[in-house]
Amino acid sequence: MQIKAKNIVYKYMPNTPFEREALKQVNVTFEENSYNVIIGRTGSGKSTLIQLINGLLQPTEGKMEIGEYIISSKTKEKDIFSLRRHVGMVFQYPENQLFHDTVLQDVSFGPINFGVPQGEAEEIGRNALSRVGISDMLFNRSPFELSGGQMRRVAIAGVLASEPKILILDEPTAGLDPQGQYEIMELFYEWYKERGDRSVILVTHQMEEAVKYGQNIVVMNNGELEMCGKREEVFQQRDKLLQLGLGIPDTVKLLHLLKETSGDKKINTAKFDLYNTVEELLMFLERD
Amino acid sequence: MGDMLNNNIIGQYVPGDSYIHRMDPRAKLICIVLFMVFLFFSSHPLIIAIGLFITIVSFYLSQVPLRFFLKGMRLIGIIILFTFMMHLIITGEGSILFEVFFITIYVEGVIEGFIIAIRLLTLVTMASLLTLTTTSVNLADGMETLLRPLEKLRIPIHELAFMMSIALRFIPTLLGETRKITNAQISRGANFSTGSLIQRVKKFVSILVPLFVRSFKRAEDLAVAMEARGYTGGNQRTKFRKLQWGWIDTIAIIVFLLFSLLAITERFFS
Amino acid sequence: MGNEIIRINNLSFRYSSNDVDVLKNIHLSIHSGEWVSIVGRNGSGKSTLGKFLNGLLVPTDGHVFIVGLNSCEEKNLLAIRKNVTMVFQNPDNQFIAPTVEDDVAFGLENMGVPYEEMVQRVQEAIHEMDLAGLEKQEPHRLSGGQKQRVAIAGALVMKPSILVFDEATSMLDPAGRMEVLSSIQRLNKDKNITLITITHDMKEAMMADRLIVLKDGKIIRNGKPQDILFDEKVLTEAKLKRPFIYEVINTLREKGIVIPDEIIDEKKLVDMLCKLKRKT
Repeated sequence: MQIKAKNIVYKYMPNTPFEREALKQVNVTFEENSYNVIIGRTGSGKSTLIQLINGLLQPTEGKMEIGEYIISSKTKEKDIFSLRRHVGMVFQYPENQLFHDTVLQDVSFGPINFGVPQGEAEEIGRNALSRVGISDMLFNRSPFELSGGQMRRVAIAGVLASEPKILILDEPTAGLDPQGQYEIMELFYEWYKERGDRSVILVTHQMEEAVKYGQNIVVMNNGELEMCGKREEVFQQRDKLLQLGLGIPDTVKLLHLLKETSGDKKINTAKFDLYNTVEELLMFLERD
Repeated sequence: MGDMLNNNIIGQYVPGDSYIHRMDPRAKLICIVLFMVFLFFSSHPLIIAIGLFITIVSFYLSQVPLRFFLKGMRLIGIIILFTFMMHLIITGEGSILFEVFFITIYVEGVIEGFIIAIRLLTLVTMASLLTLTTTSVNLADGMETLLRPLEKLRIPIHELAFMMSIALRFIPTLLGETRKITNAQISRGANFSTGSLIQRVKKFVSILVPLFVRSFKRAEDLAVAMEARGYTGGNQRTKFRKLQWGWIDTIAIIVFLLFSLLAITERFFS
Repeated sequence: MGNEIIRINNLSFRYSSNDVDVLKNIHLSIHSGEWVSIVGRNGSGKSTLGKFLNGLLVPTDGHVFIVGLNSCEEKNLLAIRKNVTMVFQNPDNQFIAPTVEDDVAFGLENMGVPYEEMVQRVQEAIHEMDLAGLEKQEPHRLSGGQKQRVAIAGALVMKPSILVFDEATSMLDPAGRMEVLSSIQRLNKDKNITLITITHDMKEAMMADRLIVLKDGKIIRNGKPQDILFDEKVLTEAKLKRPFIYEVINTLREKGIVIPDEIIDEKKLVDMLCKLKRKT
């Protein structure tokens, strides 16, 4: 499914002294089967934008097109319902949404809501749980007896169980230790690669995650779309990113520093992993 | 549901620096109580007119945007209108104003309905002015000082006020949390607006359970943070917050006392 | 380095008698003015260890001495809590009072400090943490970084000799994290406060003078960050992630480039590479 935001304006509490314009004329397209990353400071409009994609919010002005669905300010709630099955949302600290008596019941909650029969929903739930690495010994336990890391996995399984086409991830690794972060991000990447019609939109503050997984990068600032493009294009613009108060990937930072200090114009700063960065350093040393 | 919540003005604070904002919460509380009690002492049109005048002046001084206020008053407006109509229809004696089919409208009914409507309107306006211009913290502080004499009756006013201030401080946090959890469950296909009553109540479990779990966690964290900072109870604590009584407060109290006197005089001596 | 300010002897701990040990035979000595970082995976026992440092937990097995005071003795607890203040992980759950200045004053109120002194100390702490202008703000109108700085101000106002940060930056965005980290750094440098930062962010841990690596409740390494972060064995064992710059240096060494030990940041590495190139 392709996602197209057309001239989106979003205002919180319109016509009150508390009115706040969270999005100002945003136009952006996320293609089918792509891995996208949205970066921007807190309060830049990232969260508002993603909530418009599954109809949790409806635009004040403009249109949101998701596949066949079109959402505007006049769209009725009942016409959005079936869209939510296709757009899975992993919110920040998703373990806070667990509520059922057992892990398996909680994971089946989504599919049952979307009309999947009980037995089938549990089957889907079991698969989703084993995909996130929860052993079947835990299926009938209360989710509140699990460790923090396990709870996070169960919550993610609960989103995957609705079998979405688009997965929206809002800082999915916040609060995890480095090993846990790595495992969770790999899990999403495997899910994405598995089929040709799946897309991911990742909201993150961690530039390392952004460069490692993102093909397209969208930069939000003050409710506006500031930059949008391929990973290589966006992360080349170091000064602009810094100016927006955003981080720079470590690789780019190091190569930029070297380029400035040595004056060697041939250094390519668009390297995003350890191997390529070290290669670039070695090439620099070998050049005359 | 969202619209009703968004347009509710009772309990909302509108930041500002007007005379009314700057008043001591104790003065505001005393004024409101005086006003509420004595407005019902007399139904003389002059007293009602003065009450209305005081309300209008207070509202003007508070600098609360009129449009915002009117929008929030819609529901209450309907109730007041309904009360007015009831009085028109129910009042059954006096001089006849006009007759339509089987309904007879009396002049007395119109006057009485009018008086009741104005009373309700001024009351609600004054009460919402209190919350619109006073932070909940100041309100709690004001109440605590005014109620302090009750400590002699062994009512733990300090502890109650401390609990209240923590509760108030966490209301926005809990509202934010409720919104997040609701959004998460809606995204998983929960539909809170359809189904029978029992079905809907059952669905709310998916919001209430996480909310409780999170609140317990919060309470635990908070207790640890308080202990770490040496909280042991109310005995030897000193207080950082101080309320400040100003000349505006004295003037306001005098105005409202005069109004009360007037109402009493009218009721008992004329 | 100053005199010994924290001493832990053979501390073991379990939450309930039939549980596994969360901490096992901990021996630790920390000196005044030091910055020590405790690292390890979630569940390694690092936060539990933190709670022993200001008497939130008291040992049943072993001893903890803070500025010479035994935390087992009830009468020492208030003095210990005055000396060791803590900043916790969740910015929302440690903001007790309704506004910034009230929250900063909370600890002083508890100690029964007189009003005039309280006003002055609160002002100082608020300025120290760059919060001037936000005195009357309510917590839900502050950013995460601001809330954590309020928490630090509320800790500083007690004039402690030791500050413990229990994953205090893990819920913040990068901007908030920078805010808090630069405050922490300043405190250690200018005020000579002993710092203990509990974290799983290795970039943060690198800033400390000394690292303590915990795994399953045991201290598996205790030493300088440079020494530990090049030690493959410890890193794999504790499942820690080496900061990027250490990865680069390590890989360059594997490729045969000689890099002296003192080079541990980007600037030094870049300078060295430039020099190396000129020589060849």
